[in-house]
Amino acid sequence: MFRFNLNFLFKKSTLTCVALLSLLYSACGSNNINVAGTNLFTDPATKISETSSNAFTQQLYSEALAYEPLLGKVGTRVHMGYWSGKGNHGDLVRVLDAINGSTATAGQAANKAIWDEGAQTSLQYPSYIIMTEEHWYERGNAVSGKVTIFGVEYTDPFPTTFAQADQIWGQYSQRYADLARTFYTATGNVVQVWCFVNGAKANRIFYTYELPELIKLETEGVVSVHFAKTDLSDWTVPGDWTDGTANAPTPAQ
Amino acid sequence: MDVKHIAFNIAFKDKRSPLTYEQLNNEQLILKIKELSPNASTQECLDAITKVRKLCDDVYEVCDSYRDGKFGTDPLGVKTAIIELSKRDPGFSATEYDTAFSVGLLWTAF
Repeated sequence: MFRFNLNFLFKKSTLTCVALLSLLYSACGSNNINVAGTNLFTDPATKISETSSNAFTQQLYSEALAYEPLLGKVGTRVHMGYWSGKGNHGDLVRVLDAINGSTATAGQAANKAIWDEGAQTSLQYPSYIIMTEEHWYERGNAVSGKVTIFGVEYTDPFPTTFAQADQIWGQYSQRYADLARTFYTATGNVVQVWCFVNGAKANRIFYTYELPELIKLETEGVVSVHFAKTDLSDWTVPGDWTDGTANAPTPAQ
Repeated sequence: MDVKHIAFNIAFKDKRSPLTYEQLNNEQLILKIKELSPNASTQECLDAITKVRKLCDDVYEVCDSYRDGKFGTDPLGVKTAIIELSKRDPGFSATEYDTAFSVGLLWTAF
């Protein structure tokens, strides 16, 4: 991962700033200790506080814009993707790629799609990469303070509970949802939200963190939410989708 | 590194994003493996992909069950879940089962 960061540091000057800011942000703001280059032992209390704040959404916004400046341009139609449950990840990727691959005709604004991991489906936000390098679930399952990451045992300087790991990822996802407000303000367009959540469970992040936020955003007139009826739902075919958070699929038990 | 471990790393280590194996078809995965192991035969790659695909499915199910409390919530529950994984998909190392389980907890978090 570190080699990947170096590659894009040299190739993309804009991303250089984002990557450096993110690293600085994480290093200074999170009491991080970089033990082995890719493992960040952030204090979970600090991370919970960070991912609760609007500043975290603004950080994600900067990172998204660094990858795709059109996301902040007046007139751009921004699309945000959500998935939950087995098999739904790949279906969402297909739709996001189709949106980003669509060609705007003369006089039409561009369509740009993002998700919680990054802009497009292959460029991950530095903040997302940091989240993965923090290894919350390995740390949440530590035994007597010993964490095993890729076969190497560490002593966690900030013992983490499984519930904290879930909360951190949940709040990250909630701040991702809040990006819609910033896109709405920047582009002047209602953000289109595409969800593949058939078979998702009620106690997972989508239903506990993301959907409540989408309901708020929908009430504010910021988003228009669509739920895929099938694995093959096509974003250009309105009949493939159920609209509105009131019509969200009933979660699986 | 042998082909099976390369196939494993593509699923669980190279990119912590969920479910690379949902995104890529066998042909794309074979190309990815051959980039890292140019001498690997197509059949070798395919065998490894089949094993890791099944492991991915089982990781999802086991982690889902763990989250639903079916293995208990104490450290023993983690151990029991990982043993279940190793029974369903023999032939991986202890480190790989641990890694797959942790990654699966992220997949199933969403």
